Amino acid sequence: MNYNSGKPISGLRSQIPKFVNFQNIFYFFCVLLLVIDFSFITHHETSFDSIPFFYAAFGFFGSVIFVILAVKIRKLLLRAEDYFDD
Amino acid sequence: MSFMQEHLPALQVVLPLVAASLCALFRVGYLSWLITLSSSILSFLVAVFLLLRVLEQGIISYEIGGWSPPFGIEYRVDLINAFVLLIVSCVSAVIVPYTQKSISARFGSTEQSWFYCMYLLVLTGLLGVTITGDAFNIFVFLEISSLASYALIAMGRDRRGLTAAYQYLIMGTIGATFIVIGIGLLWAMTGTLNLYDLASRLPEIKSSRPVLAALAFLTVGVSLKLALFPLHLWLPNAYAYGPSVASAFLAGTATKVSIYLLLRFFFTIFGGATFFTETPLPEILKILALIAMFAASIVAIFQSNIKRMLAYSSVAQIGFIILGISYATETSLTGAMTHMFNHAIMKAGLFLLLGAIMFRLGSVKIEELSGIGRKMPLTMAGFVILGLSLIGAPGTAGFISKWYLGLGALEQGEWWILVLIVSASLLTMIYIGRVVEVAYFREPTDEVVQLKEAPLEMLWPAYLLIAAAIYFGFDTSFSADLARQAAVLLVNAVY
Amino acid sequence: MIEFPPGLILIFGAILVPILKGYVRLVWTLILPLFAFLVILSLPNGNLFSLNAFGQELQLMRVDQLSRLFSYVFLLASFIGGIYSFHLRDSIEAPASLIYGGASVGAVFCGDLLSLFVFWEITAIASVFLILARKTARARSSAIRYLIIQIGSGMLLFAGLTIRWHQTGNIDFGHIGLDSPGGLLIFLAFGIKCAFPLLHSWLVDAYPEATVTGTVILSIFTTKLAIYVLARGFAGTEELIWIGAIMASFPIFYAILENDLRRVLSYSLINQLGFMVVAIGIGTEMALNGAAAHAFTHIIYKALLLMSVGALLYRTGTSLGSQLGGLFKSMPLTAGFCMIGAASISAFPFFSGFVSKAIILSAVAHEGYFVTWLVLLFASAGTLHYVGIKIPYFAFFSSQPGIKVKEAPINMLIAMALAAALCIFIGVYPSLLYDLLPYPINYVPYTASHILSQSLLLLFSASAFIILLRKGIYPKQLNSTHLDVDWFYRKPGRDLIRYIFIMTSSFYNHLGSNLIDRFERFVYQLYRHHGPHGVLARTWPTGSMVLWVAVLLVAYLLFYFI
Repeated sequence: MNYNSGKPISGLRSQIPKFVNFQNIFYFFCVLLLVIDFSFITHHETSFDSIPFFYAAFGFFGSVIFVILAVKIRKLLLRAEDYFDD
Repeated sequence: MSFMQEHLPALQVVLPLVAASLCALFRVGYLSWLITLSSSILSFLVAVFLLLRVLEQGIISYEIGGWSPPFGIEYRVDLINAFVLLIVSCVSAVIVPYTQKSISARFGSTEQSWFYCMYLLVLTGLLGVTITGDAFNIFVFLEISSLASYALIAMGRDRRGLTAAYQYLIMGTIGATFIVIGIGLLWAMTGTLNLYDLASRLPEIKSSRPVLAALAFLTVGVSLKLALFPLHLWLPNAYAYGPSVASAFLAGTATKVSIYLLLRFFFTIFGGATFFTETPLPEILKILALIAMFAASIVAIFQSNIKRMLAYSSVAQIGFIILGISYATETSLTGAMTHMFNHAIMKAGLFLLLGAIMFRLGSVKIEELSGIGRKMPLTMAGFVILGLSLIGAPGTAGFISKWYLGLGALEQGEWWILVLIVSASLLTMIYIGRVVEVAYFREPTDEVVQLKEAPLEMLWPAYLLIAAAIYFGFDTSFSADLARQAAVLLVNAVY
Repeated sequence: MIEFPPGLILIFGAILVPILKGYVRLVWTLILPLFAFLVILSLPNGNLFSLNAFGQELQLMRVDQLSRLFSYVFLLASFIGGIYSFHLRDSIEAPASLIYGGASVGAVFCGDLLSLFVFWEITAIASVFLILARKTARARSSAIRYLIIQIGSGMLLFAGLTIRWHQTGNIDFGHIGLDSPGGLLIFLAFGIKCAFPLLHSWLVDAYPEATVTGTVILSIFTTKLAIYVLARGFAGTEELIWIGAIMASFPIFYAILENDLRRVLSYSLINQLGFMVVAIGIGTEMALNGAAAHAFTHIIYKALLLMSVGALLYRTGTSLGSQLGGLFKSMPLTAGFCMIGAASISAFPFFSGFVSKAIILSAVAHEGYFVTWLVLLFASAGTLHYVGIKIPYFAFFSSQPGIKVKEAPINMLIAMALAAALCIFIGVYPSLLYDLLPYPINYVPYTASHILSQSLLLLFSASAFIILLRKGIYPKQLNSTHLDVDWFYRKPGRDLIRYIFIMTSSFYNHLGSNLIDRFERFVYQLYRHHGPHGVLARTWPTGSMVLWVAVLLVAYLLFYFI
């Protein structure tokens, strides 16, 4: 396969720490909302969204699943940048 | 006011006639122009009023001098000739504002007056032919317009105009003679010259030999006048070597009036579409029309003089109209009548624009126009738009009429005619394309570089016609719907 | 009372644009949509203007709530786009944008299919100039592919309308439905412009190749016009629910992988269209309200996102995620506006996307399409990932090369600020938008349940992003191409055409000399007969003409007597 990998982003991980400062606050909010949701609110848009933590779980696991799926799909679809130019 | 309304049909003819004599009497160029302008506009208004009245109350019958028909001469206006009257007077009213600039540049004051006098006489004749309900009167008016137009063409800048006019005279006279022979035969058989009377008496004797001979003479005579292939030979020279104004006027009106005569004789007098389709005429006309569409277009492609090119294009476009007539159905006649109207607008406009080029450059040879699109952008842009309309591009008037013509052929199940219409339009594209290519994609020559845009007085009348060519490409409520109503009258021989 | 199609104001006004300069031009391009807006505002509902052509009455001004809403947002977007493209000096893009917008507004008011077809084609032709104006080889070939497909859509529409005309005798543009071949063709024509799955490749192919401003303008009209016509002609068509669900979900995979941020946004455009298509497929009053509302908000926030990425492209010369980053410091305002757009498209509470998407989700749930509901919920979570977080993150925050550039030009900032303000304003005061909707509505978006469920969905989706990024599972941004449906015509299709071309050309070479000889001889013969000196062009001999007269006379006499 004529595949030009280009320049992958180096050290994505090294940039995360800048994010970290906000991360605790972010997680705090997540937990806070969960607690509020669990204790005060019942959803009744559909029959099953009243399951506890439905939205949170759906958001989290849905995202994880589709990112992993996307990575798998990429193996099939990835071509060099100038694939069509000839 | 009611007096005026009463006498509108007479006014239609008398106005330009009186104006013509005034021009001959005064012989002051500018004054003559003013007279021509006002009488043209007035006859246009008269034509509009006539059309409105016809739409309102049906056929108008007017007795000249109070002599009642069949002894006196009757002017009879129905939807069909009201429509043609409007075309003729409208083209004239648009052209006259344009004439002043181009005519005064070439002629002295006296000659100008004669020019306008002849112009008005042509107008008188054409309007007269259209409005009258008397067969012999048709001949008289036809001669008035023809004689005057010979003079007009002889006034061209090119010396060859004289020969062209002479030739036109010979051919025109033969045509007129044939027509008068035809009318004479009819008169001998029926004892009347009134068209309305003829229409009622002819059906009984329509298969007798003298009547058929009359039909043959009329057919050939009118075919000559309307330049149907192969009797078109006078037309290219006449249009090419006459003054541009005359070419524009005659191309827009004279052939249309002749086509009107053809319709009048074949349909109204001889008994509608049923009679027409019994004769071998449809086949002959169809074949001649198809040959005209192709032969004339191909000749046009090879012309180097653009005026001649457009003249041949006229022959081809007349082929389209005759093709529509040859089917003699409501739709095809709608197409033919609409194309009469649209072609009058487009051709008059194209000749006006060419006149503007002639005025600035002094030549309309195609090789001398290279790069002129840069120096006369408005003129050439107009030429392109009208050219598109002539080709029949959607969104222009030409499309509408070709659409109906094609529809008419399809209704008869002759889809191959549609193919021929489209391919003839492609030929149109080639000869218009040649001009566009030269005008826009070649480097300007030294003469062209010094050119200025055409004067405004010459541009706006042309742009009026361009606007009309676009407008009638979208709104067909005037052109096509009126043509359809007229077509119904023709098919059923209502008069 | 002005009674003519208001779209024509823009179309004819555009003619003047090339000769105007500087601020006069800006004012003119802003006055036109403003004027058209005022005209529409003053119009009563009803069929106000009709033309007769082809034996049909063409309705050019069907004014009702639905057409009003779309015309308002089109004009609003034109207005913002006008400000955004003020810096342009060329004389193609600005008039093309205006004509494009005018034709779209014109199409919205069409009450019959024939005039719709005319405007449909004008949008196709005007819009292609926005791609061509990029003036790169890639843009050129992309523009040609785009044009072929768009014109193809027009041809399908024309074929469909002729069949319909033939069968029903009229061409009114009301509910069409799929139960006739004509309806099917029209559906396909609309589907191409709406970027249905498998028909979508033109969008992701062409939009990212257009100019900076061109992409913004393109994103506004064509697809939303398609949504409008679908809502008119195919509301309640069950197939649309599945089509829409696929549209909402499959682009997120591409979007998360794709490197060019404008292509990411193009995929996200299809994903957002999916929500609207689902709503149209459901076809209840509430669902159609949702589709219209979502089209309205979507036009604004998608334009905002593309404007901010466009500003990046304008300043840095690239829109590739792998080459951008860390621009938060040098373009703080653009970054802020981009985040507002991102929040809107992710449907955070108190941003415009929330108030429109919630209607659609409620309508879907209300009608009991639970699988579809789950798919849309999944797509919402995906939207947050690939646009809500990915775009701002890779453009502004990931401290990549740290290119030093200036803030976006002032006109771009003003345009973005306007759009951002609208995003927040509609989010906070949804009743303003709800009043414009085609059907009466008493929907309350801001219930505790709605706010909390949406917040939870988004926050936990975001936490998944952070975790995946830290684990290194999140796909890297690569300079690459990801295959899509266009592969079929850009690789094997192209090769096939080349093959045919080679075959025919060798065929011609084989027959070549012979044929060319014949053709030349043919033209020579033509010239001999038709040329200036040919028999058919001879005009001088009077005698021959008289001979013709005699021949014809005899012929006619013979024919008549026989």
